[in-house]
Amino acid sequence: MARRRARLTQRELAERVGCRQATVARWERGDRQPAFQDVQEVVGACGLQLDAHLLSEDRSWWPQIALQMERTPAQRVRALAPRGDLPDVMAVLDALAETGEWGIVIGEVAGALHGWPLVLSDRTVEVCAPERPSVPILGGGRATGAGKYELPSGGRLSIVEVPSGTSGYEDLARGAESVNVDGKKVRVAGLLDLLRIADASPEPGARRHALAYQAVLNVQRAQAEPKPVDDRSDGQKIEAWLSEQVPAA
Amino acid sequence: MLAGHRVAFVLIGGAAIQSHGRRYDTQDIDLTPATTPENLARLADALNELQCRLITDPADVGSWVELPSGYFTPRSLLAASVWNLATRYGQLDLCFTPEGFPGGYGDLHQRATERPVAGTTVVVSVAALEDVHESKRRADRPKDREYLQRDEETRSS
Repeated sequence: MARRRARLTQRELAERVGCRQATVARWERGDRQPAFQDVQEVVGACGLQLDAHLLSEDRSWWPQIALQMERTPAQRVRALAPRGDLPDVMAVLDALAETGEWGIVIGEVAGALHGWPLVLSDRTVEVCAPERPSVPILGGGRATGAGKYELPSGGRLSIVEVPSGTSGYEDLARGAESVNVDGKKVRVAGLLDLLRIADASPEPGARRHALAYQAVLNVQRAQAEPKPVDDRSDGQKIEAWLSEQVPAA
Repeated sequence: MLAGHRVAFVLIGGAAIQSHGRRYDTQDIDLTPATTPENLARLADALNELQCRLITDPADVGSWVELPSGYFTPRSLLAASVWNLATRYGQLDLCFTPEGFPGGYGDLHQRATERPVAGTTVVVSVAALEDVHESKRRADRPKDREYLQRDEETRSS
């Protein structure tokens, strides 16, 4: 993430920290864990500073994220859309799907499509795109400001050419995913890139978004881990849970 | 559903903050119910209709159990001070004694206000914003710190 934010190639970073490009590649793939000193050197080589805090571990979003993950991407957005705004957001995604690979969804709607637990704050879909959309692409939408458009459905599109911490569309395109939204393909920024954007953003609330993206990544990792088989009955599981609880009275 | 069953409760957590007009991203509902036998019976009826899953370990993804039909009774509800439940409408967390309020409903109800639920005719009792903030300060999770800091910045700007 730091390397991409600094817009360095793996080879350039390797030269700066004095290691082989293959080592950087292994760190990024997770094949090899860098020592803490390596992390500090990498962050410094990227022109960044590592700021560490001790915080209580917070998994309180995990159940909500797990529930979201059981849903389809479209259902996830519907579950998080503010009252009455749902058709607008879905109409924007529908229009985007018609454009093929023109834009990459970022921001809150991207978080929702990935399964985060935060309610959407409005009906705007943020997109990273290399150029302004033409009117036909937006199905008759009209410009309402610099990079901002309103569709006939009432949904809003906001275009960000260079999101914080990135070098723009090509940068995000590498990690973007094609997500099936009600049978249509929408390009959505990858979770690590969304975390990178939130991490570098000066916007109020960006820190909360970063926590939510990180929580989704943590849930995905936890779900991927093999678990021991629990052959207890549901009744036994409930009894075991109750035995660990503090009674209310 | 809870209002339909005339359950007495105080809304706490993020939904209470939203009800006070502050920005808080949440989709779950946290509430503190009154513990009179009559109210617990009404609450049990409502929960049984919701067909809940019990989240046995919020920190372990996938640790949940489908509760048997009619599981909740006044007695079974009091067997735990916190219930993390997944319902078909979203997550519902019951907390009989929130952080900083050992008296639960009795503590919170005194300063709570009646507020309408947006887009409905339902009116619910919402914990005072100061009480919700106090509970969040005591819980001291990263997201609580982030919210309290942002709220402080918003108010001072």
